[in-house]
Amino acid sequence: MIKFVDVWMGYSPGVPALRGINLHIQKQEFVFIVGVTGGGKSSLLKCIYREVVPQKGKVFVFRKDATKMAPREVPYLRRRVGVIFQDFLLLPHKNAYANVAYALEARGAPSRMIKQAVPEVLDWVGLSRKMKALPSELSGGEQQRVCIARALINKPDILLADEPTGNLDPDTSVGIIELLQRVNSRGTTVVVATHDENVVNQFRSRTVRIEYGRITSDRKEGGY
Amino acid sequence: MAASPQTERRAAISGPFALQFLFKEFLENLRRNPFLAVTHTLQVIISLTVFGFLLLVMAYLGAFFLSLQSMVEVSAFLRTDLTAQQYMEIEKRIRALPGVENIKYVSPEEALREFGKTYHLDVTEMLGYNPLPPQYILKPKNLKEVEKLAAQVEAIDGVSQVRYGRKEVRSLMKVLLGFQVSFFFILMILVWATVSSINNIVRLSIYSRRTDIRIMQLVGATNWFIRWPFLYEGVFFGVFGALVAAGFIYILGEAAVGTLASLKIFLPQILDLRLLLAAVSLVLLALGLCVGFLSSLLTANRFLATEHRRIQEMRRMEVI
Repeated sequence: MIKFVDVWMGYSPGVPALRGINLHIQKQEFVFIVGVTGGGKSSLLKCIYREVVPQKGKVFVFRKDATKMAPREVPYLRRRVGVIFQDFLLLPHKNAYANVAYALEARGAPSRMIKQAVPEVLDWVGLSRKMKALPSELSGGEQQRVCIARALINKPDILLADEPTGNLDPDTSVGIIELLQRVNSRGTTVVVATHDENVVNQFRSRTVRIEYGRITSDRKEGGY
Repeated sequence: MAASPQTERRAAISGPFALQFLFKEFLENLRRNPFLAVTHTLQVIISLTVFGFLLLVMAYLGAFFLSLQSMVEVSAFLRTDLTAQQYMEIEKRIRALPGVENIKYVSPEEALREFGKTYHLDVTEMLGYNPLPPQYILKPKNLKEVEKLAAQVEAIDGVSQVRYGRKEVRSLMKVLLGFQVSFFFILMILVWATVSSINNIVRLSIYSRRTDIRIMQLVGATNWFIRWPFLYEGVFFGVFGALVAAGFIYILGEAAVGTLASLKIFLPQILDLRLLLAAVSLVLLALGLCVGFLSSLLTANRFLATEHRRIQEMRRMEVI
């Protein structure tokens, strides 16, 4: 499903953020990418949803090389790859329903489908009673659930989570990872970049450690 | 969550164009920046009103100069010792010249009658004979070519003299050219002012909605889908500004004619004012629409191209 072949990538000349990454993530896998801040976790995820392009190597997503993708092909890749972030990236003037609906509206979905799908997905993430709440009226964990709902509304094949528990307390963090595991159990490949030791140790999934842009370990039943 | 097949949802997403959503987004932009919208709408209205007013004056002056042009005539006096056959030959040669609109023969008797009417004099009584020669009066097709035409007529055998208001024609041409050039520059400046007003509205609107755009890009909205609300915005400001400007022009035009009439200054009836106002309104609307659409398209493109440029720069970078 996702394959990195000798990927080198950097944001400024002579300073690689990823150094010769080779990684293969299978369909329906749940993978933690761990390591210190600035180690290359986010850069690795960005290569998957084509936010950045590596200067060397290939990144295959759905068997297609994302590094060679034309700009017009990128939206179609992103329709199959959901992304959630540490800082949520919610629209502050829209309520939970509207924030989730926005992901469908922005792709031109008919209103009939939006009216049916949005309450379903909000119910699924446990926010059926907070549909009309603005982000400022929601807790950090609830805001992250809205983000997950927004990423799931398009039924992606891959869900990428960049430090999804970075702004949350330990209990809420566990709840979010449990929710991501439920997403995974429905058949979606989930990749979580985190430096939250607690969470990684508790869930025991495949764990890839990345330090200074290099993969230093890749364990099946990981732990931090 | 009900398990609907993914293919069904994806197929629906690539379905009909979501005009409702795009229009909602456009209204949201207006709602979020009302002060900005009002300020820039006023700028567009002022620019287009001045533009329309100048266009009106320009059209009126243009028509006035055209009417003056139609008054310019070339008189070709003929020798008196020619036969009827030779007069006909001269007429034939003048008619064949490319710059001649029409030609009229004036006999010595007719010329005498006109002279008498104008100056209240009987020349034959004073001189004992009619001194006025036969002549052809020509109307030139184009004011610019009147000098050339006069020279061509003068060169025809049998024509003794050619007269036309050489000095008057030259100064008329100068004034006409001066007006045309200065009005053209003023109109261009006003078009530029309108373009930059709409550009600013769209640019600030894009800036205030950069998170929305970021989310749209992340969930897979195409660049065209992202552009449309901004294009609506540009067209709205252009057309709305043009409509208000057309209203002002109409009121100003009517008021100007009324004021001149009250001062006992009557404009020559060379153009139907209402027709002219309608034409200027149409020009303003078309201009507002085109400028609104194109300037917002360019601004949105410039913004969206930054993403593409960033990726291109990354590709070229040497990090190893």
